Amino acid sequence: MAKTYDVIIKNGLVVTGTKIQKTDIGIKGEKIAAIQSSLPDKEVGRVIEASGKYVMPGVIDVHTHPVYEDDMGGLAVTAAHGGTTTLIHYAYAKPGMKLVDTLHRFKDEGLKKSCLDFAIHGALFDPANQVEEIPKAFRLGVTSFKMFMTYAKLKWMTDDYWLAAAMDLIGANGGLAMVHAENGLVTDYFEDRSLKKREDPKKVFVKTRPDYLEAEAIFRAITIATVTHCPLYVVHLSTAKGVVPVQRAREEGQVVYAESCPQYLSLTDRDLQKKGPLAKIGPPLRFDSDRFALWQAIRGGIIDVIASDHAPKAKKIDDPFFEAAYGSAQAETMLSVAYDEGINSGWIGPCQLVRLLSENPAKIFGFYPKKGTILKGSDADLVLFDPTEIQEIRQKKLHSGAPYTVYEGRKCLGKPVLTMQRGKIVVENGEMKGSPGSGKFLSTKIKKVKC
Amino acid sequence: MTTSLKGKDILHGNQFTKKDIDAIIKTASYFEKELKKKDQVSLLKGKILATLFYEPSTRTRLSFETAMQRLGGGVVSMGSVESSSVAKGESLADTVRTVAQYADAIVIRHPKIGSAKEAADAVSIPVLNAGDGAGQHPTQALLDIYTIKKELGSLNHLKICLTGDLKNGRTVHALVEVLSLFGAKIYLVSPEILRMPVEIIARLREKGMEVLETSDLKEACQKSDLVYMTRIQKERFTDLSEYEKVKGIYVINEGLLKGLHKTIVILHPLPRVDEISPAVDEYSGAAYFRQVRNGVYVRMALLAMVMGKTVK
Repeated sequence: MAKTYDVIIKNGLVVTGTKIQKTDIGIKGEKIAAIQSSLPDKEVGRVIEASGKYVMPGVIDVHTHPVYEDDMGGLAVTAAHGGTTTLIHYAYAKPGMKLVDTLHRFKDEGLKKSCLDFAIHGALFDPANQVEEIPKAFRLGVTSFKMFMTYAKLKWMTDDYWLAAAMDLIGANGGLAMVHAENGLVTDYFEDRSLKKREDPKKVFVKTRPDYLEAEAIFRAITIATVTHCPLYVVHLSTAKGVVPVQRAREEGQVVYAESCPQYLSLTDRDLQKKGPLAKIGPPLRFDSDRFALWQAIRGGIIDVIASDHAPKAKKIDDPFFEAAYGSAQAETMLSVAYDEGINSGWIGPCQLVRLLSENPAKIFGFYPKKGTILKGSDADLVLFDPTEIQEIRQKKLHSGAPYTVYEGRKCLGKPVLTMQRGKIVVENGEMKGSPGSGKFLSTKIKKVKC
Repeated sequence: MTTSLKGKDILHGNQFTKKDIDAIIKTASYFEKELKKKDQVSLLKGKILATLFYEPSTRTRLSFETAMQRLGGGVVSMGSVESSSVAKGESLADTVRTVAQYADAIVIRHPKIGSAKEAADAVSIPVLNAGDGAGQHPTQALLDIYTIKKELGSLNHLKICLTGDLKNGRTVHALVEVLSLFGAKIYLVSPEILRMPVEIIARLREKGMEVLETSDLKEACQKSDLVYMTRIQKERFTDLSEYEKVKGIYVINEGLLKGLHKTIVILHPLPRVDEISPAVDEYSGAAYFRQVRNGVYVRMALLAMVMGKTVK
């Protein structure tokens, strides 16, 4: 007799963006075939008992950098261990590189190595020479493009002329412009001034990149996006002041999405002072007042997405601070830290966490309702999460190539125990069961949605 | 801080003074802070804790064993009842006397009411009651108290609604004893056959506690700062049809929450079955998972204190 379901997940607390209910999930092939209590478990391939555990849509991490200590294979492995099922990577089109060639290269690498489904954003380091390729990128299924408003000295910064030119094209093609919003010329001036004064670069790190410069850049990006009629996505919002222009633009009815990351929601400059180069990230870790304002903004629906900004660099704690690279490994710890910080502190509930980590990203980038939710007919992309298990975060237990974690020793209440993609178990009890190359490439399609 | 618990047993919710509770909370809070910075607070280096569990438990047992190891001490434990000399008919007193030869303190869980006291009377080392049948579960009560303090900021003059199985719920029995020290007013809401034993209620009233029994959960919750829900324990029913009759009477769900003030805190000693609907998890006052984390700190405090250690 044919199997009724390949897998049944029994008695779990099924969480979507709108409700939590105790029910069973029947999975057939790659899809969710039934959601109802007491599914008959005869003739079923496998029954997974999930009493007392949350069953959530797999995390969709829309902010990852697969060009450092984790390639697209390694990044999928570390992310899958943390409950993620879909990644959107930044394909780095560095100065002198062609955009479309770069996108092809990243797509090919992902198809070969990734155990998770993935999509790609174009990261334009040199829009002056790359914008003309934007329409071609759309045909490859890449519809979102990031530009840096900072890192002028690194020659990564996009000035207002080219921001406008890129947004004009992106908007006209129905895409999404994304910005790292910090005023790069002023941060560089502050950095130079501080170097001349021979100040300790670690002590003044956050001071040379003050919150006003993030707020100013966000306001400017929103202004340019408005006059070019381009939807905008602000990556890694980190300050209380930065929330203000986003909120105002929303009230005026503009399409502006905002993202923050676990590091800005859980760590501050105090952690940077202790961990030095390991906690050097851009934008910098801020203060508790910013952290709390970001949680308030999440509660108020102004921040739509939590993503990891996973950028695992080979750094050691005693490296010289000034020379140390920006970035940290975040993908694997994202769900646990966001859960612990958000839910166990009472800022948000599980439904809102699902909206931030899965449902909103799926809606913005056009995967919904195939992904980002638990509905009949959706992909069976799921994470089982035990809210009563206490896990201690240790670098040696993680799967990133980064030789450290900024959360070393942190005890999180709650832990992902099983990750499933399209009906196949990728990680169970810490054991990798997925295989490189099983991930599919996903085209993004930008939707103007109300998150 | 002076410890009043040195060498004492932890057996019953009514054994503590206000000063004891204060000291336990301060010590637990100290361990909570220290463990954020490091893995171990080596106060009990070289000491051995024996855990004797005659009834199944994962949470309480792991919590005690973790607590002891975080304090730098060691743990010996009886495997299962079947594989020990208990299976050969050894009496509880004899078992604990033997164990006392190896250990510096004993944690015991046993299905019979009064068993922890029996064990404590047989030996001179401290015995900690981790649940004696439908009797008491004082360490759970103390972790509840610690959670309540953290969630509400104070223990004084609280209004607390206790609901579910108040007859067999040993956690509740211990908790109300401790609450009675702080001028609490309690509302008891349970099915008729699962009412809190009259002798406990009488004792609480004697201590000056205001105790109100009611069948209206909503009204009781509206008047309370905190609601403590317990599971109707199927395993304590001999007649399953009786269980079926009462199991769904009192439930916290979204409908109930809508009629309540927005700051009410909800606790549950876990595991829950259906008495708190999953939708309630979304609510910020749902503190029952957060509660779990406090167990280790409180048990560390108790272990350190009964073994005579003090903290800053």
